Amino acid sequence: MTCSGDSPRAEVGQLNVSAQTEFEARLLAFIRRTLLPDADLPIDRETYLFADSLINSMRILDLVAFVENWLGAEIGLDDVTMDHFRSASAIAEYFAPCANTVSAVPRRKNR
Amino acid sequence: MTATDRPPSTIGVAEMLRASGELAAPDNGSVGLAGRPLRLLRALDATFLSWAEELGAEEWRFPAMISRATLESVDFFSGFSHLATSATPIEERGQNVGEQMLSTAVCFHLYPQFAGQVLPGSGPILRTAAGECYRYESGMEPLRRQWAFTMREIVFLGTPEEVESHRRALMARTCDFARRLQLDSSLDVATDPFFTAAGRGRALLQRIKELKYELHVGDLAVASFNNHEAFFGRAFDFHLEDGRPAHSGCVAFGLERWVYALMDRHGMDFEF
Repeated sequence: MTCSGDSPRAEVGQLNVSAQTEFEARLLAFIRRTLLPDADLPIDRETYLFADSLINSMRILDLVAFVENWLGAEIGLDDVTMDHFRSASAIAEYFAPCANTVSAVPRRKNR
Repeated sequence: MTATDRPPSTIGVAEMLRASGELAAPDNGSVGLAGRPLRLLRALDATFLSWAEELGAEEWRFPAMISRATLESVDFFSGFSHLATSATPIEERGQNVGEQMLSTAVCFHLYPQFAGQVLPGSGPILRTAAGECYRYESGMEPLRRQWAFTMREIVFLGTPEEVESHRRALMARTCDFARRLQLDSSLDVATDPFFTAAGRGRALLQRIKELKYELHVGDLAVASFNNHEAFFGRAFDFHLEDGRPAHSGCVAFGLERWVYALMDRHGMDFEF
């Protein structure tokens, strides 16, 4: 899946705003409880995830897998950028609308 | 700049150089060069060396051989074992020198020199070296993708800011150089060819944090610009005065690929 290029992001409507909010809440819970339970600082939706090696090479796999599971599709390499992954809100803002370009009801595995 | 030959469009650069007796390609992923391509390779290396010297880099020369233990220290085999080449003697002579490999990058020779050291706070440490490197990859093609190839590297160790600023400056200088040579090039975020699942995580991080850029001419990466962050500082325990692991970075130029790109663009007589 790639969310760049011609995807209809401009057509995101109220339904997607709701999906984005839900996704962000679940993602934030995953980051706090599973991914970074021992983080020194509180993690909120705008916390920069890549400071001080918070996210290492193993955790990034878990983070990407979480997003892919929620989307029900693989994330294309072109979508793996700092702009899209810098914080929980950035991830949700970029990828939640993508879910609706792939499937009306994202397959949710391992949640 | 001279370009008396028509740029080769139907006959490849390597074939033309082979026909002119200036390239020997023994069909094993290596080439021998003479005449025009050798002069061009030397001119390119002299240019990159001059950039390093302007920055105050100390020049080193290393052998192709590197100990397996050094590569293990940097977790090489978990990510790049598919590229590695052993340099094992056919006959043991009772000397315990440990297993040796052929180096895949010049800069691996440098980091162990700083093991356990505190880097001076007076600015980054800069080194440069050129050498033969060996990466066993599929799709070997003379000048374009070789098992044995020549790499010039400029390496910098210091604070995160020093490393990134040197990387960015050399990136800009190299792009400008390619433009002036009229190469149709693009600078792209890249990842190392990690082999394992754990390597995929390192590659994703590299991509997100833009730790590796490559300058591409067509489908060839002719230079790479790498920020290792504290990876080598941790691996070899060299750190800053404040106790943090030092950061490092390197810029690498694949010299045969530059020769190919320039001759493909301008013809066999190209000089600069």
